[in-house]
Amino acid sequence: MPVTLVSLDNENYVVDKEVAERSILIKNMLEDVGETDSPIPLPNVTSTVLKKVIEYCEHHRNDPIQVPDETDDPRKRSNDIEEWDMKFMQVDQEMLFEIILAANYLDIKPLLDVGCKTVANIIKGKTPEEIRKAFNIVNDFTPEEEAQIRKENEWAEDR
Amino acid sequence: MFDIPELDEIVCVQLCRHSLAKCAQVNKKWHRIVIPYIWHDISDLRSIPQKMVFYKMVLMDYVEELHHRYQQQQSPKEDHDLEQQHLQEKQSSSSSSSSSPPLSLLTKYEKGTMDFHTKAGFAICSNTALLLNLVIRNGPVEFWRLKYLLNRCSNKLEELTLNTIVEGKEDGKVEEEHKEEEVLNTGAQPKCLRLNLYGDVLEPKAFWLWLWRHCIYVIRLQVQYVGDFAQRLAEGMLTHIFNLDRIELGSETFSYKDENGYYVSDEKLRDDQVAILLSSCRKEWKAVQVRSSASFGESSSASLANHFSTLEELVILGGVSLGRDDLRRVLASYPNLRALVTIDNGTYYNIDIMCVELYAKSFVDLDHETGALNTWACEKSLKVLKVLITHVCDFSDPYSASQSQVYKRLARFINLETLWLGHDPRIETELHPDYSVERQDDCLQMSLESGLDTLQGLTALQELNVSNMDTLIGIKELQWMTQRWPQLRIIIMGMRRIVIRQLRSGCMTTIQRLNCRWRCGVTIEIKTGVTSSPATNP
Repeated sequence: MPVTLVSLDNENYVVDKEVAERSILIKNMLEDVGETDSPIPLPNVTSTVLKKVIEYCEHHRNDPIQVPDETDDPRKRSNDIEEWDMKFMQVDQEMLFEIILAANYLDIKPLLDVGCKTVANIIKGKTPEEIRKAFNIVNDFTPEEEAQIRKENEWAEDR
Repeated sequence: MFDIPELDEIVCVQLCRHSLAKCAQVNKKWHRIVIPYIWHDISDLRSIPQKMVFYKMVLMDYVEELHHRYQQQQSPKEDHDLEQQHLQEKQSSSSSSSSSPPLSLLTKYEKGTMDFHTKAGFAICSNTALLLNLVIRNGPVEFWRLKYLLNRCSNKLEELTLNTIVEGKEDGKVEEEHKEEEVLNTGAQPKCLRLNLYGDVLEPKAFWLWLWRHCIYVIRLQVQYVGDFAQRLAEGMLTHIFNLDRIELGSETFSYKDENGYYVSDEKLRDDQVAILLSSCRKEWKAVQVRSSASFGESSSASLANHFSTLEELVILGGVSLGRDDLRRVLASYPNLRALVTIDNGTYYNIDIMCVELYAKSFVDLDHETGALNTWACEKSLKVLKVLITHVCDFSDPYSASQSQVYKRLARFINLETLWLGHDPRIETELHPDYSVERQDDCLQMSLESGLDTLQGLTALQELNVSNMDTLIGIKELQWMTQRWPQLRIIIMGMRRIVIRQLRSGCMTTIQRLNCRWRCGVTIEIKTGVTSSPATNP
């Protein structure tokens, strides 16, 4: 049963219901609307991002639905990123963030997790300057502030 | 990162603290996001350097303020410069601790050692409130600093060791306003106090009073050195330490040759000092221990004798010289004596100073007229006897007594559980490899032929150590022992190859384990709860 998704910039994408329902948001919408052919507007998602999201959902259409567990500690979930997902996430930093935001909006937990894990992996092992470069961040500390913060958190570093 | 807290969380919980620390330095926004995750749980700080940095940062201001306040209370006349110096010292020597830390620092220290030579003494102990054992050594340490430390401890503190010089002003005020109840409610009240106060620096009276107030629950006192303060110490014992009933004087020390060429121990406690301390017990002494650096002469003997009716344990080790008859007198007249120990297997610095000897004749103690053994007061109470009985032979001189006589005397101790005879086993550990192992040869032979059977009444005996005697123990004797002494679980004897070979061949089924070390002899562990059947001779 096909479902039409409409992006921010008015691009239409037709996908199977099963694929679309990887997004809990869309799933709930469809349940509320009932059997209908009307396209579903997604004003928060641009077409490029939506294309990527749909790609993910297509690939993972047969995955078992993860029941969100209140007590689930994401730290404890030690499942590493799949190879396909890793390749999928090899995008520029801006796109990565967009995917994560989209996954959040569309409520696609697995994609959200993978995205955030990817961000975490980028951060790990980098110096502050390297992190800034990776995410295009401007340093707004004064040198004194920077020194102060470094001192304050010296204990947190594993030496 | 994302302007959406939920997303930030998903990322942050996956980062280790190290990475989070780096993130905090990226920019202000990241700093704000990441900081709560760094500080969320600091209970798993592992390494000492990590902890030090943490304390320095978190607790420095708090501690400095307390320190400052304390200083002003104690020594208002003190130089401002000196104050600054102290503050600086604290800064450089990574911080001290707080008794009620603002965050949950969970490291539990059982023993905190303050080493004042390096002035980094404060650094080691993270949380004095959890200390069980506070050791303050080297030094000198100022009185106010000592007070500060001890007041940071809680009533968990069980032992306090002062191995240092305590400095202070001679005219320090005695704090009259400081009530005893206050101390009881707030501070440390150790049960064991060890004093090794050396040096010539005079200590303020206030120090002693303060110390006693903390020590009213002390039941065990160890004194290694008190310089000229034996009198002060004794006064404190009498006026404040009501529960004290165990005292240990002196410590193991090295020996050196005096002008006559005799080996003597390095004396730290004189006879008169020992005597004063032994006379200053509020209750009655239950246990007294004297070691090489303490002298035990006539005065001390007399002081000890005053406690003959209550003394349960007497330990005299490492070359403390007693009068010839002292040991016999102790055994004969102390009705509650449970343990008499003059040989031991702890650490031993001297191979030249032998332990106290008990001559066989003294040990046997025959009545001159009847020729029978004098009844001794501790015959029923004695459970542990560790002594060197010499001159067990048939000579008729003032020292000797025959095997059978010595057996008879030993047999009187019907509740004996532990029996060690022979040279001090410690002598083994220090012998130069070239020296042959010295075994006592004028000793009890422990063979059935010599009269071992006399000892069949010692049915409570659990442990026998005759490793430094030239005994004639064979398989027959071992079997006899396991039969007649049903509680016996361990025998330590000298190396006798034939016996060991027989034992190894399994002729005794009651043996649990056999352990041979050529210097230290054979340790035979007996299976408990098994009575051996009559011997089947190999």
